[in-house]
Amino acid sequence: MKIKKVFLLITILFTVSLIGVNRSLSAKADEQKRVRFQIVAAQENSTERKVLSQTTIEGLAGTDFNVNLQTANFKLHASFICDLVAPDKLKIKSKLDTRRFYGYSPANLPLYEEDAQNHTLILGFDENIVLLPFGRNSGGSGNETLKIEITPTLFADVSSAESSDALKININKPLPSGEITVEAFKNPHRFQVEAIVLADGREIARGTSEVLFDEEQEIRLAPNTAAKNSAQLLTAKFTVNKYTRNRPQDFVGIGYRIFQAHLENQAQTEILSGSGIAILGNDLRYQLNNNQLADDKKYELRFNVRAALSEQNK
Amino acid sequence: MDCKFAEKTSLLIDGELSLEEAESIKAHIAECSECQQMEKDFLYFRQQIQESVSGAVWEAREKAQTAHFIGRKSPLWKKWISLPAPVFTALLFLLAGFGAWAIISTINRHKNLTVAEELTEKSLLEKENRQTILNEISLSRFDRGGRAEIYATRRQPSIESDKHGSDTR
Repeated sequence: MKIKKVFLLITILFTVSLIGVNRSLSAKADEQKRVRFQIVAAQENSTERKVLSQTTIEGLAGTDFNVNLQTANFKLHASFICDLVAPDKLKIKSKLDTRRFYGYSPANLPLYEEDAQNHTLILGFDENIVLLPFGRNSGGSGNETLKIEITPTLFADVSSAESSDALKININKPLPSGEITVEAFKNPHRFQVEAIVLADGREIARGTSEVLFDEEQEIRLAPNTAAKNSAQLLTAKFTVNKYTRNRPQDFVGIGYRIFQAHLENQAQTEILSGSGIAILGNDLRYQLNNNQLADDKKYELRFNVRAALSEQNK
Repeated sequence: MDCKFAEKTSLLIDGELSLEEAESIKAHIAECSECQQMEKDFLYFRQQIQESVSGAVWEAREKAQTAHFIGRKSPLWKKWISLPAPVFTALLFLLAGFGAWAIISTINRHKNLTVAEELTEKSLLEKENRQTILNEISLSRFDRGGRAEIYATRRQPSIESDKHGSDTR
């Protein structure tokens, strides 16, 4: 009977480990997958379509890019943060910032019309993104619309490992006026964030979470045995919103909000918020004053941001 | 000149005789035609000498006055410089060369100015043409003040045809 149990246990463990290995292998394969974005600028009316420019970006899954358009009176900066969230799905967070010259004020100062939009698109590989920099021009003869179509393609790189990491931009058809430019880059999107609360220098609560770039993530700060007042449950909502390459360590722009939970009514009160620049791997410290926690102790909040393990190999 | 009083006639004219001698000579001249002629000749000759002497004296005085008022040195423009013939010829050639160079350079400058003006006009025209072309190809022709839009859509077959270099459909 005992032997049977041991055999069953070994079988289960072996199966679980096999599943784990399989998952890690498939994750590795996902990491090595490459994405190609074909960016086509075309003018369209009801009857005709003409391609003006064509650019192709190719890189590892998670490659980001910007499309910039600048004419004499109009400027568009469109950024695209791309994540492969499923084998056949891309999550693309786009930010559109536009600025258009409007005219002059009575004091002869230039006036601009500015607009900022954020969009998150979940995209299959049978879909594409359509960007209309100047909006839709419909009706009337000669009312042509400028379309920028972004078409993603997923493929496995069969070339050598050295070249598989390379980021490529091919300008297949340049725009004669040079008014559209494309940039591509590979920055980490996943960060391991550790938040610690200290009271008089002693750690009383800690929480860790993986934070996606430009997405607010909740980190529960679990109190330890040193925390006397368990009612003071704290939660941090943390965002990494900027990434800057630097040596020896890269910088990240962060934003945070600290909430205090009240057990009696399940309500949460925001007690602190702020933003800053953190050096990857280094502690970022903030003082929590006594009034916020209604205590005599000196409270301190520490954040430590690192690139997630899955990002460190890239 | 056979008359023995001929020499005395000369002395009389010069006023070198005593009063008595002068009276006796005068009485003789009145009777002697030879001596009368002699007296006439002496007087004429004397007048000529006096005239020539007085002209030279006048000229000398004038020179002295000019030197006094203007200065002892004569002005530079009145001076004569003697040059050897080869030097003078070389100078003449130099002057002629300079004149020719001045004329040629003036003509060339005029030509260059004309060419520059033509080029400026040409470049202005080219600039205008370029601006017109830029305006025609600029994407601002699509701008009618609309707001930027973004959306996801099903892929259209035209994208595949674009990949193969098709510009229109």
